[in-house]
Amino acid sequence: MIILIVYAIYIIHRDGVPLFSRIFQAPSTTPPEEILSGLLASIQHMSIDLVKQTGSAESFKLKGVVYHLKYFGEIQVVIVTNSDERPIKAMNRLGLHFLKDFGEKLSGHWTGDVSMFEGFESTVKNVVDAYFEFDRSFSIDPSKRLTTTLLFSLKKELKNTAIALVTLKEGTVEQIAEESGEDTSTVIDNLAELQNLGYIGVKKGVVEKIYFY
Amino acid sequence: MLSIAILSNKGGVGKSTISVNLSILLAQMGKNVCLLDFDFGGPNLYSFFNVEHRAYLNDVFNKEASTEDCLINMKEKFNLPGNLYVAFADPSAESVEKMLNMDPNTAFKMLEEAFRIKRKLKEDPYKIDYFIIDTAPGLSLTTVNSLLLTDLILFIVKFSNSDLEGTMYLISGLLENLTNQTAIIANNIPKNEIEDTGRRVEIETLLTDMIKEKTGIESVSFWGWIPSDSDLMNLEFQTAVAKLKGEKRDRMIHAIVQPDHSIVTSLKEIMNKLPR
Repeated sequence: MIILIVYAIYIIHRDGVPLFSRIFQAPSTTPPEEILSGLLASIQHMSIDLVKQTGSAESFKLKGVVYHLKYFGEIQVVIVTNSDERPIKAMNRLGLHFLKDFGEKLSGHWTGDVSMFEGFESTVKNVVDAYFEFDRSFSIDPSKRLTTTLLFSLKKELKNTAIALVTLKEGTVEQIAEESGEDTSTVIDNLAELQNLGYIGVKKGVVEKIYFY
Repeated sequence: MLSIAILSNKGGVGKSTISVNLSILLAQMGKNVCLLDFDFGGPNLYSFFNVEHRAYLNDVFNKEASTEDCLINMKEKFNLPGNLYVAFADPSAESVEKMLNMDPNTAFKMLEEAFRIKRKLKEDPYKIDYFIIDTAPGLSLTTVNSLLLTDLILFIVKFSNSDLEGTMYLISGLLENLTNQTAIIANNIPKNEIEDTGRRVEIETLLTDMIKEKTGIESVSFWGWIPSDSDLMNLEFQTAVAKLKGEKRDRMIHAIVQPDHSIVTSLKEIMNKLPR
């Protein structure tokens, strides 16, 4: 069975303004939302020219990953996955939820402030959990580069785990726990949070997952 | 291994003197100690030791030398029961300039390497008990690196208003982000002021109240006083003049030359507060 991996989710306004994005992979694999918006606008223009209908382009493939597109009124949902299989249920749930939560504000006097869409994060998380095997044993690169100041400003609870990983360069949960002096359940939680923050990646080891930064 | 950063808000408050004496005292107790000079903008640890060495810490960070190349064991030189490994920062103008203009990427690479050095020091043949970093004054990327590498911060303060206030700002800024245990040591205090127990307790109370008020942090403790020493100032001057004349002279290490000196006695009292 192919594990369905989600690389990124974007919500883009019909006029090309990126409203929301959640990238689960390194930026090298998925484009920033501004570039994607421009690309989508071109594709839609092309589709209007060819079939005289907006929103007829449903997917395209780039660097081995598939961009699935669907319009919901004024917005377009884009889900980037590793498969040609169209994630229609996930797209519907995202599109309809977004319109329910923010549709009224968008159609009214929206000032361009995208910070109001940050609350959509929890819906995205639920959808990803429900429809995608967000398989962490698959290699996922960190999307941000660790620095001295980032390490310094990490919240206190995460610091020892992060420092242990930097000391080891890469390691399993057990190795990181031994280095940090923390119990494994704390380390697992901390690694998940550090991964969500984009600071660390994970790859498949011979037996266990190996975390790296 | 207990790791300690010796830090101050301003330069010239006696960080290096304290770092060196504390390291020697611990090695005299049979402990294995490693002392690193992280003051890359104003290196001076080398001036206490006067030994031939193969590489600087900078060379290790630049991957031009191994950890073994930069560590020098002072056990035989000072006839110590424990090992005392020291590593110096490169004092050349070119290197200092490079370190002062350090970019964040270089600082992080340095931190990565320092974490691996620290890890190596826990193992054979080093089995280090105390890992001590003599940091640069104030807050810089190398200072932050030092703090990330250590468990305990010893703040050295001078009793001048600007230094006290600056230290409080530095502490409150740092401890927002750090879990390190933190203690303050007051250096260069007039002997007569702290010989009087009543006076000492009074100043100590004022200082601890100020720490709590200015930093809002309860966990910072005051660990002790180190008296001023006019003989030391005179001796440092004479050493500097001798160096100008081309003579080979080490800077005074009280723990070696004058083990009964009040500086050594004070440091021994402070050492008793180190976590076991």
